[in-house]
Amino acid sequence: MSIIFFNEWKGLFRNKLFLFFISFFLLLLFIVTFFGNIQNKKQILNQQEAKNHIRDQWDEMGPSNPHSAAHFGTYAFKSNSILNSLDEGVNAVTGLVLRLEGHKQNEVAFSESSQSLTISTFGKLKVSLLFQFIIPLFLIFLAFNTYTSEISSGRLKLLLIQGNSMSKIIFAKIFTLLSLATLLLLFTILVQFFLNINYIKLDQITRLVIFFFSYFLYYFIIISFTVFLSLLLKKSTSALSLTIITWLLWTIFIPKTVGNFTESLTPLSTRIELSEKIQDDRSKGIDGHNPFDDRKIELEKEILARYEVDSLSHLPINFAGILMQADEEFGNQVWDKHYGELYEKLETQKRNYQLSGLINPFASLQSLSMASAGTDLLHHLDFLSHAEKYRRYFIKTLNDEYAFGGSKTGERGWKASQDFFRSIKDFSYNEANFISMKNKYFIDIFCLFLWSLSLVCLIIYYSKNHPFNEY
Amino acid sequence: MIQLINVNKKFKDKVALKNLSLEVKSGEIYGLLGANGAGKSTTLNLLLGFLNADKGQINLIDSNDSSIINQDRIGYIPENVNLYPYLTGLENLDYFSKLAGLKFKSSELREFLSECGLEKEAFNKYISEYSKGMRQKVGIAIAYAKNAKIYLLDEPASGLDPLSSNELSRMLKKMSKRGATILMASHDIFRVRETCHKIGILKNGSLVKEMFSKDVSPVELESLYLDYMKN
Amino acid sequence: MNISIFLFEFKHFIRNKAKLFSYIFFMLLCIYSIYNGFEIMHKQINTISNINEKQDIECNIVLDWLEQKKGPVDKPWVNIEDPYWLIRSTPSFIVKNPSPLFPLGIGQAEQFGFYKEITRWSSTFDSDMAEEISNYERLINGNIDFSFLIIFLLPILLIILTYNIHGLEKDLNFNKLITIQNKKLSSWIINRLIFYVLIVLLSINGMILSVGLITSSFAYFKSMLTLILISNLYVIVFSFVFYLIIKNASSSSSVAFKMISFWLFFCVIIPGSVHQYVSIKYPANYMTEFLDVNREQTYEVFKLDDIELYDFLVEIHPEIVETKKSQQDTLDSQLVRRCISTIINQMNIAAENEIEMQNEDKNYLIKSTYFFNPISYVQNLWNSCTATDYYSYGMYRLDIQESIISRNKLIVLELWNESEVDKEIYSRYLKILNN
Repeated sequence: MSIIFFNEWKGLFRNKLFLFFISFFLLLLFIVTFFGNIQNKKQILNQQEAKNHIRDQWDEMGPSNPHSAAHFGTYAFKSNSILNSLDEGVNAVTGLVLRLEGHKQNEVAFSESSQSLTISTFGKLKVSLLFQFIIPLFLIFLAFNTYTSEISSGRLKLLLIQGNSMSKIIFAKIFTLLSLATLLLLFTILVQFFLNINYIKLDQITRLVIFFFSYFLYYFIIISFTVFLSLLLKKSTSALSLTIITWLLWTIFIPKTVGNFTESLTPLSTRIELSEKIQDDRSKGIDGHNPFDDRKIELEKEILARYEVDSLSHLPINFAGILMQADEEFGNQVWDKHYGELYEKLETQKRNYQLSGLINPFASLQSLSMASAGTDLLHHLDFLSHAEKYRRYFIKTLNDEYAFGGSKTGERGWKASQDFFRSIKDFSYNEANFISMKNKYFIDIFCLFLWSLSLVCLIIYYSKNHPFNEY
Repeated sequence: MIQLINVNKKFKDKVALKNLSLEVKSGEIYGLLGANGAGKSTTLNLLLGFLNADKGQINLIDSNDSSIINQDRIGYIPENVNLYPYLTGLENLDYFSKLAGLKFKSSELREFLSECGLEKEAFNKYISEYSKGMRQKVGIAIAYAKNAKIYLLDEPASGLDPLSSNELSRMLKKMSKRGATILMASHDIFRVRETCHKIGILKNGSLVKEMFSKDVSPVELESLYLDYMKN
Repeated sequence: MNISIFLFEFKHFIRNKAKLFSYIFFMLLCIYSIYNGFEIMHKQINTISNINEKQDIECNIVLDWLEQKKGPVDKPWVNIEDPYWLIRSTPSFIVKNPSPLFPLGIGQAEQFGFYKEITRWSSTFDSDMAEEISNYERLINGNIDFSFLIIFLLPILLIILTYNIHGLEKDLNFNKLITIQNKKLSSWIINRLIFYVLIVLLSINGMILSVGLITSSFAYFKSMLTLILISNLYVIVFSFVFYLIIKNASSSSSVAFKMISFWLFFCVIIPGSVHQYVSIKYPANYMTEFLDVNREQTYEVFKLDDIELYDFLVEIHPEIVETKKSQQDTLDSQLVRRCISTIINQMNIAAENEIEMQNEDKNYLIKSTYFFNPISYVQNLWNSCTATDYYSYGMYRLDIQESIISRNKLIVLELWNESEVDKEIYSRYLKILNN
């Protein structure tokens, strides 16, 4: 097999058109990775500036009422990690800024795609765009006639008569093209690695390894599939037409259709429906139980009993802070219920979509590619839940200061010191560790392996059962 | 009549034809023998108008009225008549006739195919189901249907079984009797000797020997050809 | 034109299963995309009608309160006869109704919200202006959208339909026979190509006109005509390039390779590169100017004293100087503070304009690349016809802004004029609040 493999490489290297394309792709990948990094770093810098700007305002606020400060609020900026430049994933359509304030949870706003006219439908020229759309096509064109040209030229008989089995010949050809794709992949990953060598940690290395293997398997699938079709159809042009149609189905048609289908399987509420439900639950109590006024009376009784006084004005603390925190916690329960449901639905949609990997390996590739770059839905939801966690800490700290920081009930104008505000930690988000999320991508990995194994079996089967006298 | 007078053709530094002169009269079948690269295909391409000669004259003349024969009166039969595989023999003939600006009734098309020796059962079968010989017959029918005055054949007997090969010879003779001028380029010494009236041996772009086939036996022709090729 | 070649092409077409399947599949996709467009449009229309219903119900409740001269039971402090409370209690929504041509192009519709409840504190960049709740991964894959099919997949259909014209003959080595039978190779190619161009054009024009018929959008005849014109020109331009490729064909696979490379270059690589360049030059905006107004500057305004606030108010609404309330010796603090939202709104407008201008700079850069990035141009032109482009939503933001201004102005003028409210005046309010 190795002799055929090296001979194929020799053939490729003596083909001027091939050399042109391979040099073109290497150069393009270098440029794209390089500029992707520049853009990503610029975005990280801008975000840091915005973050500092907002924090400076907070630190310079001076003595204020903690409740006013809760309204003043803060912002969580969606962070970019260094691998985001490989695959932009959902980042272009998610908002970038989340306002964190008392009483309510806002939605992340100001998505990049809402800030201008449409530019590209397939996204920015990132490494993922080249690896997902363009390089597979290049491989299809290299693979579609590797087998049929051997038949038409009569070389196949010669190869077989020399003692090579049909499957050996075919796999040698597949591995030749796969090694070419591997070269492109490794080159890009190394460029990415060296451009960010100071920031690379173990998690990033894990992610790069996952990135590499998902594309490696996908390329194996696409090359084997093309060769398999030419083996099946025996005509190179028919194999080419069918592979291109399949490529279209995989990369464009099925993702869109399955996306719509999973959304119709698990429909999401509209924003207005969701906000009405939340409003209802907040004012009338969750599902109509325990409305606000009842809760207030109960809390009042409990606090008076705890401090053994008979009126709020005798409390050594500020009841307003306690009441606001209690309301906040109730609000959090309501939010957890509704947004918990929403996030669950989104995760169900994602899981259902991942299942489409059984008919479309591209879906698995896309999911793993975004996951390894940290730009998929699950990473975004992780960011949102961390931001909400921080919001709760932020508001609780302010409410506690209002309640227990020295003011008494009714002292609306009371102000907490500037030092107190400065002591509140800033929101910092570290991307989730890939290993901690690995179970969520098991389906994708499974599908890619299943496709690869099935194709290996099919090729072996068809190579064995191919009647020689047909040639 | 086909007339080539001192025709020269060069591809970059390679001389393809050097002062080639030959003449094929009306009703004559001329066999052009030669090794690969001798200039046979270049000669055909020049006659087909796909190439222009660097020097010399090419005349395609109708002997009846001495007028010049246009491309639409030239029939061409390639080595492999690979027509549209998804069309039937009849449809292929119809299509190629229409390409030449000719419209025939179905009965006329059938007539042409029959004339060229194709069996009736095959008319409505897809070309993909045809043997090489059957496709060859459709190829000849295409030329015949456009009432070609000149037939140019490129290795027509290559890959044909003896029966088909023999049928081809008969067919070409039939055409020549009707006044067609036929030039066939081939490696097949035996077939050329059987089919053609006149034979030319081409070597390195020049005609090194010309003879009437009746003057040589197949064995003599073979040894003559080999002699020329070796020297 | 050689009619025979043209008509014979029908046989070539139907006998080639891959071509026939691709054509039927593409047309089914187009029908599905239109259906999908209708679905999204109806979903939007339903949401909008629910909103209108909700608004009517709430307005009727307010009307009831007004008749009974008593505000909501759980908010006894609300004096419904006070214009301030009355206007505050009256909801108003600004919606962006989908164009009847929406099924032909969803465009950027899914990047923006299409309804907004207006309060006196609202702004055009509130977080509820973000896109409707949806799965982000589905958003990046996009919808099966008719405009997407025409702009991105139709060229691929043309490739599948035409890649083996002249290429097949070369593959099977009978191209010389074609040349010898047919004097003009170019006219033979053109005739065959025209067949496919015509069936494609007839099909898509039929679909565009059908949508026009179904939605009775002949009022949008000009837009519909533009869509037909864009799609037809688009197909013709692609066909012309494909003609040049076919004419110089060496084999059908090399033709397919060249055609697909052309498609990739213009539909994927150039727009992708421009996108990357634009985002390096203008990184995603964190809108700090706007955040400042929303937070710090609002906070600062609340700290101002009544006279300073009054001065700001007069600057925005000079007519209040003439009112009795203004003539009084002392400023009514409650009155001034009830009008703070007008001042904040003015600041919001300035910050929003700043953002719009920054976005416009980005758009200007995008537009300046149109001469080598024609696909983005076609896409935006198409979206503008179906009212789903950035500028259509820009107009919607202007409507929202108008409504916020109207609401705040109404509060200011009614309060400073000490208007008394009755049902008739309330109906005037409703007219103003709902534009």
